[in-house]
Amino acid sequence: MLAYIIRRILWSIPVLLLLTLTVFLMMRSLPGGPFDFVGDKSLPKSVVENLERRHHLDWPLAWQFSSYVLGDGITGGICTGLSFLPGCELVQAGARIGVSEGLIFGDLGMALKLRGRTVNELVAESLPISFQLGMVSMAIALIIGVPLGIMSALRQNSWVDYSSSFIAVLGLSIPNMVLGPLLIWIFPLTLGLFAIAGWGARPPFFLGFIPNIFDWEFWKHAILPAITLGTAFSATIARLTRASLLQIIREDYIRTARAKGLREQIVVVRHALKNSLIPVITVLGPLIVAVVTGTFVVEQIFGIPGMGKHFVTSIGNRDYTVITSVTLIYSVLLVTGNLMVDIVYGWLDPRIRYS
Amino acid sequence: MAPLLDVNNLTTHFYTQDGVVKAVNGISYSVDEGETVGIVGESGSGKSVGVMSLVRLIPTPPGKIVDGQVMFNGQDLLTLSKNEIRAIRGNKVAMIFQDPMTSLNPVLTIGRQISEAVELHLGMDKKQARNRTIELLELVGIPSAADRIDNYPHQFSGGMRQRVMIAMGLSCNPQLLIADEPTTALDVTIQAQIVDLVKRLREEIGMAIIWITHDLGLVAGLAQKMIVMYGGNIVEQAPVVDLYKNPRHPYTLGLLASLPRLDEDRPKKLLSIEGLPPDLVNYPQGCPFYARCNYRIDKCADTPPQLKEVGVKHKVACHVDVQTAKWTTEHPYEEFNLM
Repeated sequence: MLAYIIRRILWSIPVLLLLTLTVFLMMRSLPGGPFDFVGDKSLPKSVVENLERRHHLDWPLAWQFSSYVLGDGITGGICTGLSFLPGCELVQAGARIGVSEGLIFGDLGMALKLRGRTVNELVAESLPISFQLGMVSMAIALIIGVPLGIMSALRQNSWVDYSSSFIAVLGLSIPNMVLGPLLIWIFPLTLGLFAIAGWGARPPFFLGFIPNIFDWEFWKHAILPAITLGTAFSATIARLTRASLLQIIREDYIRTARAKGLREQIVVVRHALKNSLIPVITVLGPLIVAVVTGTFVVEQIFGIPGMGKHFVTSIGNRDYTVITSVTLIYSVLLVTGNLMVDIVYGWLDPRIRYS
Repeated sequence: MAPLLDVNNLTTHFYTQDGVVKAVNGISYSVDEGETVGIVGESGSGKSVGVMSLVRLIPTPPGKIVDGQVMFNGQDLLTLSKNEIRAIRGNKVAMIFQDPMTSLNPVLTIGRQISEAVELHLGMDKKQARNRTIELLELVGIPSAADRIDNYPHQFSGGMRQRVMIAMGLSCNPQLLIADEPTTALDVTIQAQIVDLVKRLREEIGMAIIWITHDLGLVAGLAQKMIVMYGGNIVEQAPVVDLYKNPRHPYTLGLLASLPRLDEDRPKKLLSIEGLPPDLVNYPQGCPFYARCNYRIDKCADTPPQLKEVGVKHKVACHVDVQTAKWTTEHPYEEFNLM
């Protein structure tokens, strides 16, 4: 098992490297650059040139990538040793004003548009908040979704089933930008409950991520955005749990369990539920990763300083280092999430074994 | 003495979108203590639904037991509360099923699956139940049972899984074991092993058995009484020797004619019963076997025959006496379709 996990982690390294290269190239092939301003805001040409030189944007692309991944130290070293390579005179000139110690040493580089900020700082500030919001949303989604799915499967085609299907479709159909403001209007504005905007939890966090969950200030800010995010997911989870359980409950071994005289609750919980959760776990992995890395709309509506806004604004801003880095973080989490899903499979179903 | 199980006019229908499927249409029979009853019939003749209805294991909806009485030890199983019927299932009345590949839960160890019934019905604690489970696995001939108790079903072969199913069925010393085609999914050598195992266990435990099969040869050596089902009805019921020596229903004759025999000088071509079983939604008005019967007469088309005594404990549902009557048609199903 351990060997399997190590092999999976090693395999993910070339995948992540290839992904970083793809995002790096795609972003740079977009027209425009980080310092192109239009109209009144346009900068003098010399200023733009200086800024580009400061961030190594005047280097050939291969050297820029090398700077991002290996760092300016190594890149400069290569050029000193192999000075005949094209573009090396630029690299040697620029490497002294270093912008990155390199991805492999954990440095995600400098943000281009947020002057003086490193991407590491941005991530350290915003990822824990997105993570906290995502986790509370997923908890809500599971607490609502799984029991709703079980109930409607066990009472198939009854009013319980129909009303939970109704709730599920409703939850899926109402967009976040409608539900969010609606909740703000109902709870803080009309009833005076919970906070309108902002985030309550303050660092330092336990293990860098986990807030003090006994602090009302945290829940006051978290509960409404988490409900907004969680309802749609709970609907997905409910539909999936229902479909999967309906299939399992018709299996022969469920009949065997009933023929043993077991109580219906035990038949469902012990014999059916574990099997039927496998498809739910499958979607849960990527879903959790998507949620904990931030969601632009909900973070905007509730004024939460999470990572979602970096995803969106950095594209428009052509902030190459930020978009490449946040995508990379998302991918690392996704790879980890899928690995966890596979490990949980093995626990749920003994027929699945890794070697 | 009253029989262990007395089934009266048991009727089970399924209410589907295509109409009411009349799966079991008023069957009556009894099983004495320690007696083995074989139920034969082709697929869709209501054998399985008939026995599942006994302990109310019919999925409801769409299934519903619309009429009848199932007296077991003087209690009507059909009128018991849910809790009362659960106390009987797996305890006094146990079942083993057709396909051991799908009838065991893949995600639980076989030890867990057997011991949960023992814990429930015999009130044993975990340790006692575990010891009892090892004993049961040894009883059904699983080698090194103590080591294999924590294995999962996929680590067993088909025959071994059926042994596990039997151990599960016997775990609470049932008075009645219902075996629903327990050997159909197994190959022939394993079939013989399973039949021998059940015979041996019957002697040791002394339970009554209802053995469902479509293999007439298999039950001949096992059962004392035979029931032949067709289209949700019992068409013939007789002591086992009587049924094979002296079959009285055209359908039973057809079943026997389709079996190879070792005691014939020259092997004959095996005969099949032409045609298909009746549509259980648009159930025929007269005899359900009418469309495929070589002996049919006009009366059979509109009057359903009732079971009547024709010998000692030998009952048959047929208007004609096949011992004296001649064939009225050579190819009944072709002619029926032309009508």
